Order: sequence, then structure tokens, then C-alpha cells
Amino acid sequence: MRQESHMTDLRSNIPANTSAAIFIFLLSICLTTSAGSNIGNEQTEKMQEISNKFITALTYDNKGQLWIGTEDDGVWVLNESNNQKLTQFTTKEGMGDDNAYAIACDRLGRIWVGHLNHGVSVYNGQTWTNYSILNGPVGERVFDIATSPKNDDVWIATSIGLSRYSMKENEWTYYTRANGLPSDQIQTIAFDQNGTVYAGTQCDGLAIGTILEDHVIWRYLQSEEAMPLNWRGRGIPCNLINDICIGKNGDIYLATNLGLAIYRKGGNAWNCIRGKDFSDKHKMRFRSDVSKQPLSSDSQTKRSANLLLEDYVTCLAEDESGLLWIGHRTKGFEAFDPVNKTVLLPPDTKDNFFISRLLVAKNSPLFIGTCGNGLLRSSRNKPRRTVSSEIGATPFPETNEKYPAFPTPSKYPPMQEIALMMAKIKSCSGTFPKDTGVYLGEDWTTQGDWVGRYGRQYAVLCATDSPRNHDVAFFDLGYRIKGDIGPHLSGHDGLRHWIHWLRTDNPRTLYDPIIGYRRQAEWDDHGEAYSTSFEGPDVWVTIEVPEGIQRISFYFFNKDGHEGANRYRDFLLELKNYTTDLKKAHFAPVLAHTRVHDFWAGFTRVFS
Amino acid sequence: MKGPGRYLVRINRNYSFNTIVSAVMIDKMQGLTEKPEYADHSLAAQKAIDTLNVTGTSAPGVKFQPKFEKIIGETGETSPGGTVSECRAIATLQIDGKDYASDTIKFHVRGKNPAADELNKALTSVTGKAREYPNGMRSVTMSETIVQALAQKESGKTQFRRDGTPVLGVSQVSLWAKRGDRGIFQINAQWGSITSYAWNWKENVAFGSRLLENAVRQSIQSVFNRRRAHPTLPDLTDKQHLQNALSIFNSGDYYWSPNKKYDGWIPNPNNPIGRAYADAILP
Repeated sequence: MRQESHMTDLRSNIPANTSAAIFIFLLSICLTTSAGSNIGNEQTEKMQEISNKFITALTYDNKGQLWIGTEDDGVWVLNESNNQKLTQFTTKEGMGDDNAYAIACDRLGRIWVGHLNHGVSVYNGQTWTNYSILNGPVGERVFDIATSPKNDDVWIATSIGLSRYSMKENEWTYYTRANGLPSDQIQTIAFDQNGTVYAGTQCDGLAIGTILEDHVIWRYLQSEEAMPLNWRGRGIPCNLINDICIGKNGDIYLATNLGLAIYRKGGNAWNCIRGKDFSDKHKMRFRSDVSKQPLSSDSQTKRSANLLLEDYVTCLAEDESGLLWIGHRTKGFEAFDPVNKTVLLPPDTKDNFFISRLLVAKNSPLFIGTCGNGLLRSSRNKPRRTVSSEIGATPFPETNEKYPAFPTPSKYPPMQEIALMMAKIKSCSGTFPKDTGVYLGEDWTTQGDWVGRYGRQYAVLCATDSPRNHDVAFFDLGYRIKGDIGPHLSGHDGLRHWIHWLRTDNPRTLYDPIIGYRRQAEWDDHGEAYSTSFEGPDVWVTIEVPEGIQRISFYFFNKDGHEGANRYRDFLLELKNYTTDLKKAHFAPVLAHTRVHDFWAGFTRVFS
Repeated sequence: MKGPGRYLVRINRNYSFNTIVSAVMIDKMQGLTEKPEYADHSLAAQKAIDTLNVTGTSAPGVKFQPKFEKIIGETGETSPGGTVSECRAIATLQIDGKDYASDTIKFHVRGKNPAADELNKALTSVTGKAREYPNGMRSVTMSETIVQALAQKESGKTQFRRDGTPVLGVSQVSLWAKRGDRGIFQINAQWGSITSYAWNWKENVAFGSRLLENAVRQSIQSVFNRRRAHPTLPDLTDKQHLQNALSIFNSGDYYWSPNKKYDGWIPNPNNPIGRAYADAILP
């Protein structure tokens, strides 16, 4: 069902009080008319005040106000019933930091905001209170927050596992690999009507938790290791999960890097559908023998129809009619009819927005959060105030107090418990076999101030002395680090040594003790010269270590991640056994892995 | 991961843009393995014998004689005189004059600071008159006080830290950085190999004093040249020349610069750091 396109005019939104506002308006017109989105005969418009922001979270509160999370610009609240009034909250008002990667509203109407490296902040309608890893969630970096429809508990997906705040008991509980999760890096959380929790991990598939009286039983769902070769098929297409949407009828949808996974309630299997670029990825993947792995005839004949705009699915939302709205990384967004398995938007859409969030509620406009293009609002219905009963939340409770109390901070474990834990650790006598590796975790707090915390034996500051590196090390301890480009490349391509800022005070850039200040530099695989459907070239690092158990840390900082295609960076780190032949190593088993994305802020990934 | 061994890490572009990484860092998780430290090369040679691990029964009268060949420093130069501390010694085991085995031994040599009297004596010996050149008509006396104060300012008159490694500039954490300041006079790599200045305090003192002397000469020569071009410009006093020299030693620029009329000198407005440094030594 092909829809017609319209351009958008925003004249009704002119703020007429100042010349600056007029300028903003004119700029907005230019931006909107050049990049306006068209959904059938509906129109979208940009929210002017946040027109160039990086939208990272969207949710309605119990009063029907729209809460908008951004990267670097705090939280904005849109009151549609009050002349579209926008209010901003930042650290000045008491938030932990100015990054809001997740927002949720609990039963009491409190707003929970997940931060870059300050845990969560909670707003009770009057003031903010921050809960760090010392008195709140288990990890400093928050990826998602959701409330359980069964008991209203608040669940927080962090870089070190799941945190759960019990509304009934006012207690914090934590779930990590130690409790049965397949991974600590939880990207997204969702619940079905029974209260079963679905935790999408960053690169280890889906964890499904059945909540019992005093604990949670976790099951996993993971994909095949290799990329699926068909445009559709059974199972989930990959383990890199970006979002989960559970429909009102109980169907489950997973947004992944390789398409959409669908589970029909009552069904016995998952199905997946890929994006238009799947066949290019198939053609351009690295393989030893091309002729043995052709595309299936099914894929070749049917791939033009019913494919998603793009493989990379960033976010999902279901509207009241059961349509599934799908956001993409480079191709905007589209609607998908799960019943007929048909894509409803024309594939020739001109919008190439990086869609980060989609939010739709009954009788409300569709809100589209983008990375760098602010917030779009589709006028599919005339905006009006959305009351809490329509969005599935309990109305704001009638209490004597005007503002609800803040959540209870988590309790420190008593010394006796710590002593018992230490004794247990000391009693562990397991050996760490050779040729094994474990992913330890990530650090979003240290950023560029690494000296003394990492690299105490050896550190390579990549390309800081381009075309060489600065090695901060004792060279006679038996350590060696060497960077290279992968085996799948074009011509005589090689590893680039790139200095981005010769000198900077940006705390996210690593301090270089050899020159005495910060210099932003990195190894670069020259991937910008290749199609995003091309597998490789990749950066390969050879690491030689002496006797003993070693911890390897990598630092990533997407310093230009708010510009152009730099926003798309999304890596997989794979630890492998050494071989001199990188072609063999390419297909060798992975000892440990992790995913690196959304690293505008700079962070460290740690293996052991 | 467990060593010893090699591993590969693939940073997979994952169908995104370009792959970038800023740093790779390694930490040993169970503490450092204690490394033997040797105070002199003979012990290193002894270690070489030990590590050759000769086993079996020798014939009576056979002498095990390691042949100490050379020490290779951080920049690769060979110094048989023992002034270089780092890093490797190559020893060959000889039995009755015949080479049987060879091995390379890694070791640390730790330095000891000279006694105060010994250092003062060395500092005194390098003081004297610095003259302009080429004709040498003007001279400035470099007193012991200035040289002592300079050494005190740079390093606290200390060549080695408590652990026996050379004193480094404040911004450095690695002894093996190819740049940076070393030892009593904080000599850096722009003057050549820093290895000997890092480990041989006498060379450090000699070269540091020579740098100061050259700075005084540079000041005299510069003033001479300027006065030839602007005869109204007065000469600097000895103290002012020393201030110039100390400023040059630290920042490469002069303490004093001519005023706009070229009939006097004013503190160089473009060199506050160098002037502050000189004032700290020569108030």
C-alpha cells in the first residue's frame, strides 16, 4: 500500500516574540523542508527548541507530558496541553549528568532518568535526587528503564547487569552473570502482561526471566553464529539486540543489527525478516570460497518485496491498530504489518535520519527521536493531551503529600557480609586455563584519566606520535602490542594512524604522559572507504603477554560521533587465539566478545 | 587471558562506519613478578652464567668462563664502559677458550646518587668565566652559587630517585620515553642520546653546566649584536646576563628585551615563564 508524500510547513509554530526566535524558525523551516518526513498522507514536524539534539529516550508520564532524553542536553518535558511548553532539566537542577539514555515513569508518577556514568536520577515533581552505583543501580551507565506491569517494580538495564527497585519493599535487587544472565551488558528491557521480563543484551541474545517469589529464572535465546543467508527464516537473526517491543496481543518483536525477529504468541518458533541490504552483506562478506555459498534462489527472487528498509533496526513501537513502527540507522523509519508481513511505507523514502526512539500512544501523534535531527512529531492525529489511563499507567495517586517520596537508597552490605564474600573469593581455587579469555566489563567513569588505573604494565596510545604510537611501558617485561588491518580489504590498504586533535583539554580524550597533555588519536581501519555492507577491514591487535593472568583494556571515544556517518560506529570486539594467518583467525572461535556502540562519551572495555 | 602467550583481538567494524580505537592497555592481575635487580654488570654477568643452565659433569680442571660482551641500551648503542643501565647483556659461556653457549640477559641497573661533597666538587669545577665569542672581550662570571642553585631548581641536585631510576620530568611516567628530562640538570633528548645523561651523573653535570655556559655566551653575543645595530642600547650587567642565561636554559628565550626606543632594556613580555624561572634562581 503505497502512500503519497507531502512536504511540511511549520508556520503555525512561529515563536514571534524575538528576532532570535524568528531566526530559529527560519532555520527550522529550512531543515524541515529539506528533511521532513512523510508518512503516507500524514506529516511530520520538528520540535524547534530541540531540533538538532540527539534524542535518546522518550516516554509519557502519568499526566500525559512527554519526557525527552538527550545526549549532552539533559531532559526536556513537553506539555502539549500548555501551549507546547518545553522545560529543560540538567545537572543544574540536580540530575546526575546531562545525558539521559533512558526515561521511565513509575506508578507514583516519579520520573527515572538513566545517565551516562551517574546511575539514575529520580524526579518527584519538585526536585531531583541522584542514585549512583553506591546507593542505586549496579552499573553507572544506564541503557534502559522499564516498569513491570505486574508489580510496578522499576527495572534498570545497566552496563553491569540489571537492577530492580521493588515498589512494594522499597529495596534494590541486582541480577548479573552471577545470577544466570548470559551477559551483563543489557541494552533493553520489556515485560509481557504476566510480568515476565525480557532483557535484550548487547551481543548475547535475549534473556527471558520468569520472576518467582524470591528469585528469577533466566532462559536464553541466541542466534546462530553465522549471519543468516536468507531474507527471512527461523530463529533470531543475530545476538545484537537494540530494542524489544511486546505487542498488546502478546507478540514479541526484537530489533537487531540484522533485521527484525518476530515471535507470535502461542507459536513455537521465532521468525526473522532482513533488510534490503542483506544481499549486499552476503556478497561482500569475507569467505574462503565464494562459489560454495551463493544466495538462495528464494532470496534472489523475493528480496525486492517485503524487505525492511535496512537491516539495522534501532527501535520499535506498536500503535493502537497493531502496526509495528520500525526505526533504522540510516534509512529513517517505516511501518510493518505483522499480520500480513508487509512493509507499509514506500522504500524510496528520502529520509535518512538515524532513528533512536519511537513513541506512540492512543490518539497521540507518533514521536520520532533522531540522532542529530531532534524530535519529529507526526500529525497522524491531532495532538491532544494523553491521559494516563490511555497509556497503560495508573493515574497519579491521591495522597496528602503533593510530591511522592523518593525511592529508598540501596543499603550498603554489612561488614560481616563483605567479610564472608571476601572469604569466598579467597577460597576460590579454580585455575584459569591457557587459551581462554573472559569479558570483564566496561568503565564509563574513568574516561581519559587512565594513568594509574589501566596499563600499569603496558599501554599503547594509538597513533599519538603518528605514524607511530606512544608506548607508555616498561619494555623488558615481555609485553608487546601491535595493530594491523584485517585480511579482507581493498588493494594495499593498511592501518591508519590518525591524529584528530593535536592537543585538547577534553576529559574524554586520553591523557598522554609522554607529551604531558591530551591528544586525540586512534588507529583507524579506513572503513569509511568501504560500503557499510562490506565485512571488514577491521582493526586487528596482536597482544603478547608474559606469564600470569593479564587484563587487557581497550579505550574507545567516538569524538566526532555527533557528525555524519561517524554516528553509526558500532563494533564487536572478539578475543581469539593467536595465529600468524589472519585469514584463519577470521574464522577461528571467539574466546570472549563484547560490543562497542554509543561511545560518544568514551569508555574502556576490559578483557581478561 | 593467561600468559605467556599471544592473542588476537579483532575489532570488528560490524557493518558500521570505520573502526577506531584509542588505546590498548595491559595490567597483570596478580601483581608484578619480582624482577632481579643488579647493582653492577659483574652481577649481570653472573646471572648470565646462571641462566645458561649448564648441567652435567665437567671434566676435572675445566673452567667455566663467561665472556661478557656488551650492554645494549635503550637507543641501541653499545657502551662497554658501564655507563648505560638498561637492558640487555649478552654473555657467552666459554670452556677452555671455546664458545659453548650464549644467552641474552635482561636486567636493571640501579643508580646511586653521588655524595654531597662529591657533587659539590663537580659543580664547583665547572664554574668560571663565560666569554663572548669570537673575540672574547666581554665575560660573565658563572659563580658556584648559580650552578648550585640551578641544579637545586631542576632536580633538587638529585640524579636518581629512591628506586635507583633517574629523576624524570614531572610530566613523564615512563623511564623509557624517548623524550623528556633526565637527572640533575634535567637534560632532554634534543641534546642527543639521553641515556648517558640519565645514568651518568657526571656527564649530566658536565653537560648541564656547559649548557648554562653556552646560554651566558648566547646572551653576551646577542647583546653585542644588538648594540652594534643600536648604539644607544646599553650593555647588560652581569646579573642581567645571568638572568638571560637562566631564562634561555629553561625556555629558550631571553629575560631582557630592548625597549621600543632601543635605549634601554625591559623584561621580555613574551617570556613570563622563563623570567619567573630565572627570578626563582637569581632573585
